[in-house]
Amino acid sequence: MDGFLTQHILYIVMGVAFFVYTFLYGPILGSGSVFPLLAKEDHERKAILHSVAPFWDGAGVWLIAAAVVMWGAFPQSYATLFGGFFLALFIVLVFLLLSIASIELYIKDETRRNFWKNAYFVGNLVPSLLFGVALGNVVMGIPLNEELWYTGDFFTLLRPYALLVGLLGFTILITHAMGYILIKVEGEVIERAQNVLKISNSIFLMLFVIFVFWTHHMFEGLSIFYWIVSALIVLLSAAMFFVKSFHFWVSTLILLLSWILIGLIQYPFVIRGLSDNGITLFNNSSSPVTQTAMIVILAVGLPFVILYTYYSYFVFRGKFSGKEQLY
Amino acid sequence: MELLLARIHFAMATTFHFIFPPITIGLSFLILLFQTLYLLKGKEVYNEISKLLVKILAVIFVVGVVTGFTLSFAFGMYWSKFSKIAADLIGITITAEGVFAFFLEGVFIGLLLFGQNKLPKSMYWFSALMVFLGTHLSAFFILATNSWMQTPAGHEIIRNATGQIDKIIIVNWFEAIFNPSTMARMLHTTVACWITASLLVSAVAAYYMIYKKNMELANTMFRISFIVFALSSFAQFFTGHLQAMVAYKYQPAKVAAFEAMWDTQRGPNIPMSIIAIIDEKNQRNIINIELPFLNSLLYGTEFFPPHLDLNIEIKGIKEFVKTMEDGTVVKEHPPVAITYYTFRIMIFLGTFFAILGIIGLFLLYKNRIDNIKFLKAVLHSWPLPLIANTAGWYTAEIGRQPYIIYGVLKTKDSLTPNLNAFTVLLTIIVLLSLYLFLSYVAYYLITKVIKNFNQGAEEVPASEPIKEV
Repeated sequence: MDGFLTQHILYIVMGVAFFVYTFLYGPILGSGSVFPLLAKEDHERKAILHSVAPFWDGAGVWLIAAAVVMWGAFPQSYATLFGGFFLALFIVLVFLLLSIASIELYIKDETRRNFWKNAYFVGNLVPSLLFGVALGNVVMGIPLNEELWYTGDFFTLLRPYALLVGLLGFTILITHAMGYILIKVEGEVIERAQNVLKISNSIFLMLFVIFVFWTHHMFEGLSIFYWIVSALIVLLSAAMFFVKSFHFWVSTLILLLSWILIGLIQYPFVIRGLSDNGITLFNNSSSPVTQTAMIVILAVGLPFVILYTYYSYFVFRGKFSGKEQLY
Repeated sequence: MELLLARIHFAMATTFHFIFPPITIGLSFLILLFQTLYLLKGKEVYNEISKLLVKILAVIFVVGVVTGFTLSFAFGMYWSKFSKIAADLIGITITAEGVFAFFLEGVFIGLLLFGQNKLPKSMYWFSALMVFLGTHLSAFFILATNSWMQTPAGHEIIRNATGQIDKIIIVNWFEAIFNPSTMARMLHTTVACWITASLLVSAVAAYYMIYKKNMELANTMFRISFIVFALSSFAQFFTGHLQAMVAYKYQPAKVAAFEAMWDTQRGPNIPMSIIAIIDEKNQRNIINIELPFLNSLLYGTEFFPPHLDLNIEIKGIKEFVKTMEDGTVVKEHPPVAITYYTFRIMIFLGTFFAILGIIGLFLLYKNRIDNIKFLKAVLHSWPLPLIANTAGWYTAEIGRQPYIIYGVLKTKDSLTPNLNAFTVLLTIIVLLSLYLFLSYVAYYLITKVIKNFNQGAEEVPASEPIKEV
């Protein structure tokens, strides 16, 4: 395959992997972010944790997959992003580790339940906010030197536009997670989730409209598709107030469209520079041999991944009350 | 300073990571073994053993994932120049690891941990098989990556105008993945994982036998896991020799450090150092106890293809010290003492495992495994494979220095530009605290699982089944 084609396929694959991560891991990030609001009793906390426990690992791998595709296909962007956002990513990492550990250990480690309860809360709260902030920075552009390495510091990342994207990510993840809880959990948690969903979705809708015009103001030459996709997201977010039981699938669609929107703004950049430079999918690719091999591996492997992921959700279908014996 | 701290960070992160996945890998093998026996023979005791092992696995696995997650960030954060330069190879191996291994183990571990009561017997066995495959494939791809860093192949180096490496292009991905050391390393490490887990499981059984608890289960568990342990520890000499031969051919500086050999020696009578006190500064050994002839025999014997030629040459460390035109001295060899001693620790422990294996097999044959002294020895030996693994890993990795990709890229040229020493130090402290805490919790939970496990009394109160929609 020629370089032009493989670069574009892998650019799309990277976006898809990020989307699937938010789709499958979003329920964990979002439910953790509002954990104290949602669950007051031990069995309620268990119900939420049980509803994600069989799936967390398979879901979390999609983040690794996205990072790996970035690393293998667009090495400079992986190196610049991870090396440059060092401190921010380290904070995300530590809290993610806490979140991962807390899912299993809350259930098992009875003597430290209080600790793991809080770990699930902050462990998801911090990454849910910072993921969006990192994305916002990549979209608006970061200071790069001639060799395309990051020259800013931690505080460069806290610009208003990036913070806005951070809040957008935060609210959509919470909305998505509440949709998940409505179909996977039973008990009083449901009513609270409905309330949280209304609030988070309202904030998301408001901020999103600001985002659309701000972005339009910042970049010239956005195509008509930018407006179409944006309008669809607004419509879906508004529809969220009226649907009865499809919240989770509506928010999934919003997530998908949001990633498409990011792609429309970003192309051909992987990481935009502040001055006219930037890391595009053309100036930092790995060799065609590697990219072709990656595509072959993905084409062979991913159908099976989808198949057995579906199977595992099928085996653990139904609602969790927290009183079931999971082990 | 940043370089040293980044090295310490990576050593710390990988040392912790190298504790847990070997147990996971070995346990997944043993769980598959017991589930297969259960499927074939239908005896409930096999299922009970596998239940106990799954409970232990559940804890170990989480910490393994946590410590592994760190590494996927760490390459980019601390070693972003290496990440960029080596991306052509890593793109292939790590993509394959992600798609074929991470997802496989990630999804099926959920079924293995929580699916006992929800899956039919055969499907549960299949989940065990997939977790076994996932963990072993994962090991394969990451070791292939590491092997390529030890003995690079199938690549071309692109340099920029100033002669520095710009990137490395893979021209033959098959040669790159199956580079000269991949298979030997895969065999050696996999067997090490089996030794680790089978001794751990034997130790659990020994614990029950000493305290006369779960006797029927403990007896079966001990017999099978100890046989796996003994056979693996015998096989390890063979795989270890394969590894040493690869190093002898492709990384002579490493072999020189293994043997603390300062000057080149030739001929059929090269002795092997048993234990030495090394004076690295003056390039000599203060004391060196040697056995004659053994190194000629060891490095002169080859299995694939079978070949024996005692008349060999082992290069000395001094050959890897070069004086440049401007008078600076460049060391192209690893630090000798630490490579030498970690290698000895691994060899001595390996020998101990084989002896323990022989004694155990003899007692099994004589039907006298209720020997308390022997059981106690097994019980208290469980951490030793972890030490051997770590020592072996250090030998391999430190023995590759000063290179990160042997002969191609030096470790000092792989660091992230503008790394802040203080921030790196901070990350070391935070991560170390988190790891120590998690290790403590894991140890606490596993001992609790083992102590509270009662054969036959498991999972009675299935209070409320998960409701169907």
